[in-house]
Amino acid sequence: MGQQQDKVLALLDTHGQRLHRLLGRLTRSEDVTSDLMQELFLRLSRSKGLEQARDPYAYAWRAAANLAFEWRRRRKIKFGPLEGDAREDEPQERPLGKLVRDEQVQRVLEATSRLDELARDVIVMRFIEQEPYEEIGARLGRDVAYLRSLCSKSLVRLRQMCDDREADCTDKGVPHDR
Amino acid sequence: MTDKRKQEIISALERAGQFELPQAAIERDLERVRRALASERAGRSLWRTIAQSRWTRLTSAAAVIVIAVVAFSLFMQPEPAAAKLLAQVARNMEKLAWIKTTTQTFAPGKERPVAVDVHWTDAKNKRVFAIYDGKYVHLMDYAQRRWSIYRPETNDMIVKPLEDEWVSPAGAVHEYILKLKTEGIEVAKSEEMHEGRNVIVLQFAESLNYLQGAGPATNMLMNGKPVKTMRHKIVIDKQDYLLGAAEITYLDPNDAVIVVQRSTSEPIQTGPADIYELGVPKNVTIVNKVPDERVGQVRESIASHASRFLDAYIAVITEARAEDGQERVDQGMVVFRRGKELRVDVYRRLFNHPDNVTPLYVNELAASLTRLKPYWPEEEQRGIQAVRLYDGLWQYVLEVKDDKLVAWDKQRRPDGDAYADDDVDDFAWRTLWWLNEPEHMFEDDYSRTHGLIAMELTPQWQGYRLPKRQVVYVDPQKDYICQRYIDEELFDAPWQEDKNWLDKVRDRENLTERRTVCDIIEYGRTAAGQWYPKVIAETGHELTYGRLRKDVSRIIRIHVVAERPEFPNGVFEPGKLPEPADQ
Repeated sequence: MGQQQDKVLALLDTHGQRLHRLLGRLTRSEDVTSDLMQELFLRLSRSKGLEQARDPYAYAWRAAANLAFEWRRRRKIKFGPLEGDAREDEPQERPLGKLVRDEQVQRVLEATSRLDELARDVIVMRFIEQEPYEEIGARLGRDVAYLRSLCSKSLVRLRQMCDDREADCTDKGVPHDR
Repeated sequence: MTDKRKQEIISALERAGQFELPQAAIERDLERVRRALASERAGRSLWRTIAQSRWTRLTSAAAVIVIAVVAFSLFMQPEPAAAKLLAQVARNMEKLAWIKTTTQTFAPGKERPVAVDVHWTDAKNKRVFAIYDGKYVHLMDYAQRRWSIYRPETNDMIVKPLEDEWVSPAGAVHEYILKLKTEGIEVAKSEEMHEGRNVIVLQFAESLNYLQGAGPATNMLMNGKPVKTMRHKIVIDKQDYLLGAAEITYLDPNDAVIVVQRSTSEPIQTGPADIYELGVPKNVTIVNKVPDERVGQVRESIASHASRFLDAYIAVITEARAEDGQERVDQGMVVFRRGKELRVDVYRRLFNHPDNVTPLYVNELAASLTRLKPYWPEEEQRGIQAVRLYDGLWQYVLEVKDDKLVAWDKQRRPDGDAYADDDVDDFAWRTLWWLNEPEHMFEDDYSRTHGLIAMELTPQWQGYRLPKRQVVYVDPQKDYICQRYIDEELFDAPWQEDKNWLDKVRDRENLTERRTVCDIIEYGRTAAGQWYPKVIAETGHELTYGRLRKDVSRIIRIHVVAERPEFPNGVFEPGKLPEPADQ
């Protein structure tokens, strides 16, 4: 237990802020992030997987992403204004129009949660964390060309999922998915 | 898929990546987890709790007594017989000079303890000596406000400030007896023989609330598992009416036993004279983490003036973004404060989303809506975001989630309300803290020009986190209010000790430097002449390595609209909070 605790503490010191940021970006809620952060380290502190992991950060990153998307899938209602959305209207942000308002972000994140795990992780690393393909390849042990192809296919899949949802909502005559 | 459609998805994902929580929230959460993990590692097994309440921090005080009184405080119904019995125990404990307590921790199904902790409580001199796991020696000196921790692996002894107030075992019992009237418990009382002596046995159970609606996290963690239930058994010796033994069983959310702790305590004539008597070698390396003495004095003055601020008021606090010389309000808080009680209704800008919540609660929110209107008249631009109530012990939070007002489990908060930016005090009297990092004073042009006391913390680069600096400039002429507050994490700054730290970072493109400066630009005064910040200008920037810098500028306005007013009926009553929607 002592060594495990040391490892988890070291992980917290070196990567805690990054993991917190990841949870924040995927949940877009301060309270949920706070709780999931606690839950993440609770799980890591008793995880055998961490002990055996070659790269503890990569292991923790995946655990954090799983937690955040698990939370997202559990939510009953998907698209509404969340507490952090006050930052949506930062003056220096690009004018992306209606399609990039918060509901769109929530919708895309929701769809991302339903991708398979590898595709989901690549999408998060590439577009949310803005990692270069070379870095993602190194982290996941995958060929860069394969990741580019996977990303492209995943974007198509995301678009389909979002379109399906929008069509579903339109059919029911409601403005939001509920 | 057309390029345009693809770009829409990518843009939405990138926008998700731009979401940032306040740095203070990140640090708060990291510290919360760090304390829980560090506590476990140090073997302080009795109260491994994430929430740092005063009572739970009594871990190192006379364990068996604390076990008993904490338990009683939490759960006891007005139970005359048990309260009377406890009062008698308290009276007897007042006469004791020293108490020795031994606590054994057992894993489920194991007969041998996995940990043995021993405490010696010196009631007269307000000191607690302890040995954890047979090797970690601690001295909590409440009179000197010093906490010494000896680690045999490194043969060093960290000496740091002890923040908690001393509560004698008897005093704690008295305080808890008072609480019996307000908190419920079902106590089973019996008389039996225990190791050949006539004893009274009290038994009861406590269930902790989940932090989230569906769990599993609660505010207590043991052996890496959340504690949902604690079963207590207290043994009082009928001969001397002192607490003789206690047992606590900790259960997880599935009712599985995490650990069982058994304690025995006994009055003793005398205990250790100093920490070296407990095996700390004379050649130990002392690591002094105690701040400059002058810092302590200023901190006390800050706390003292903060505590003297208006004990009852209504205030409206708005936060606006400065754009082209105009202020655009993004958040408004209506604050009702009466002593410890605090009710804050938080409204936020809607960002083109229809407000489907506020109209449902116009009656319950009438008191805050009325007071907010003069300072944020554009009703169509704002909507309720949260209602927070602290009743002096429990924190209630209702928040808008997914277009519904939902309630979190209430949380027990003996130390005060859970939010650091909720009322006037929070904006006026700031204190610095950082784990194991001493605060120190300094002078610069700004402090000299304005006659301010400057204090700073400069935790250096540690792994991933950037070097950090927090500064307060305190005005002793204005009730020790923080005139300027700086919080910065920078790629390069004169106060950084290792000038080459950035070269050691492999993935520096993930680093973001931040700087926030809060200046009070206008003061207000209460009718009694106390100062408070009326207008605060917040400026700063964020810069992710290799990218464009984002500047931030906000104006916070604090309007104290009524001093010692007659408060709206029921505004502090939990039972009169808005009814949450079904979750």
